[in-house]
Parts: sequence; structure tokens; C-alpha cells
Amino acid sequence: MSTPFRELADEYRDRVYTFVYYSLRNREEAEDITQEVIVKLWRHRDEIDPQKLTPWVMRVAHNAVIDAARRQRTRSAVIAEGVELDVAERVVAAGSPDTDRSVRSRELRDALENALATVDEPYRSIVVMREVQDMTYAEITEALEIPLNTVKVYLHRGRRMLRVALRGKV
Amino acid sequence: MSKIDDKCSWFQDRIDLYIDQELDRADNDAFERHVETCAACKEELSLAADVVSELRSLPTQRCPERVVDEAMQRASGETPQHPIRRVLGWLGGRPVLTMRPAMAAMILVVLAASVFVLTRHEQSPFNGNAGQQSVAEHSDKELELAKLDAMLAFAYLGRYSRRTVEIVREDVITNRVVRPLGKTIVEPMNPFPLDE
Repeated sequence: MSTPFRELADEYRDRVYTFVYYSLRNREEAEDITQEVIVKLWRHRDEIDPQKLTPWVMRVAHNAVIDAARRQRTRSAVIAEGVELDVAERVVAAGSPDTDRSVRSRELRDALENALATVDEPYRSIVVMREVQDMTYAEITEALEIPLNTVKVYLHRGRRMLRVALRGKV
Repeated sequence: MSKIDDKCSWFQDRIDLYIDQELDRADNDAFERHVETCAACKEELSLAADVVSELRSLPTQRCPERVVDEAMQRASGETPQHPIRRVLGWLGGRPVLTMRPAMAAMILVVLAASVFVLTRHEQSPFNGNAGQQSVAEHSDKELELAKLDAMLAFAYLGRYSRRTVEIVREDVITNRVVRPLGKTIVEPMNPFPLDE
């Protein structure tokens, strides 16, 4: 196999893995989906417009995340309950409101990662793509095949869902 | 709903626009004036800013290199459009045999056939002293080279046979049978005991 493709695969592996990990909070699933995306990239490498490579890769990753979430819907519901308890326990353990800012930040990060998993699609994917992965609105529009204004509205809605999930917990 | 609540609701709907600097100047100024005097909106803005800030600083997760290695291995198996792969397409597009072991096997067959014919020719009782002639036709060096070729072909065959067995074991049995079967068994085991 050509070296340039290996470089391409290496370029996208962390991006896809990060997206799937923050979407599903499951490393095994993130590995499987990343591998699947790279194989699909190989199969369709000659058909993809190089200018639209990132949106293409992220669209495939997003579809795979949707499928994985659908397959594990029952399990996700159970996990989400556990997550809620987890967050609450950690916040209690964090102690008084005067806790050091870095500790609060760590708490917020943990709580945020868990809260992300409870946000519905496509809001979660848009939040991860825009805020975590710094994708442009144009790339997200292309990846999810939804209009620009909808992306912006959904992004704000996703952030608000996160605030609701986090309110009173951090 | 009170007038103040309406006002707060209006501002809280615009918190994300404010953070993204998408409010026009008039709304932006009004928003800032309101937040200065409203503790609830100030707190909400603080949480919103923290959330965005933390989201933007979430670390990139490192994907293990073996994931790409395995993907490359799978992908490289799909590259050649040789007939063996097409014939074995029912195995899910994974090549169990590659072109090289097939070629090694073909070379071996040709060499074995040559040696067999040569040996029969030399030892045939119907040839009289033809055997002596035949030996004379092939020098020791040529025979030695033929022997080396045959040994090389055997070595290739052995090597690629082992590789084929590895592929069958790792790629086909482990990845296509054991892992999916494991997932099928393990996945339903988690939710159902809790649901019941």
C-alpha cells in the first residue's frame, strides 16, 4: 500500500478517534469505528474530492456513530443513568464551593465529558465537531448535510443542553 | 411571567450569540448592561463561558497505532483485483491467499513436473543408453541449479503456507468469527439483567 495513504490515515486517525470517543465514551467502539473509516477511505480514495476530504471522513464517522448508538440504545440508557450518579458523587466529593479553581476545572471537564454523552444527536456531533475539533461551519454543513443556519442553531441548542445537564453539578 | 423574567429569558436566549460575538452592537450593549445588574444571567453567562472554554480545551484523544496498522492490513488485502480474491469473495472480501503463495505454488508444480519428466527419461528401461545421454545433456551445475530452484520453491511454499495459516487464524477466524461472536454474546448480557 502506498506511503501517502498511510500518511493520510495517520492524519485522520486521531481526529476520527477523538470524535467517536467524545460521542460514545467508549474506546473499543472508537477503535472499531476509526478502523472502519480508514478502510472506507481506502476504498473510496479515488472518488473523494480532496477539497472535501475532512467533511467526507467526518460524515462517515458520524454515520458510524449513529449506527453504533442505535445498536446500543438500551445499553446507553443504562450507562447514562450510571453517568448521572457518577457526576453527582464526584461533585459531592469535590467539597465546598471555595474549592481551588483547577480542581473545579477538572470537575467541570469530567462532568462535561459525561454530560456530552447524554446530549442527543445531531446536537452532540455538532458541538464536538465545532468546539472540540475546531471544524468550520462550512465543513460541518458539508459533513452533516444540513444548512448553515441549522448548524448554528443546533450548536447553541447543544451547548444549552450541556448547561442544563451541568447546572447545579459543578 | 413577570417583566423581569421576560427580560432574562430574552437575554438567556442570546447568551451563545453573545459568546460567539454574533450579536449586533445594540443587542450586545444591552446584553452587557443587563448582565451587570442581573445575578442569575451573570451566573448563566459564567457557566456558558466555562462550558465553551472547557469544550475547546478537551484534549485530542490518541488513537493506538495498531488501529491504523490493522486497517491498512485489511485495506491492502482489498487492493489487488486478482481472481483468487474474487473467487474467495464469500469470505467477506478478505484474501485468504495472496498472489505470491499462488505463484510459488505454480513454480513448484512446474519444477516438480520438470524433475519428474527428467527422472523418468533418465531411468526409463526402454531408452537403453538414452539415460546416459540424458545425464550427459545436463551438467552437474545445471542439476545443482535445478535442485536449488526446487528447494527455493519449497521454501517459498512453506513460508507462504505459514503466512496463509496466520491470516486464516488471525484475520478470518479471530476478526470475522470470534470477535463478532464475542460481541453478540457480551452486548446483550449488560442491559438485560438490569432491565429484568
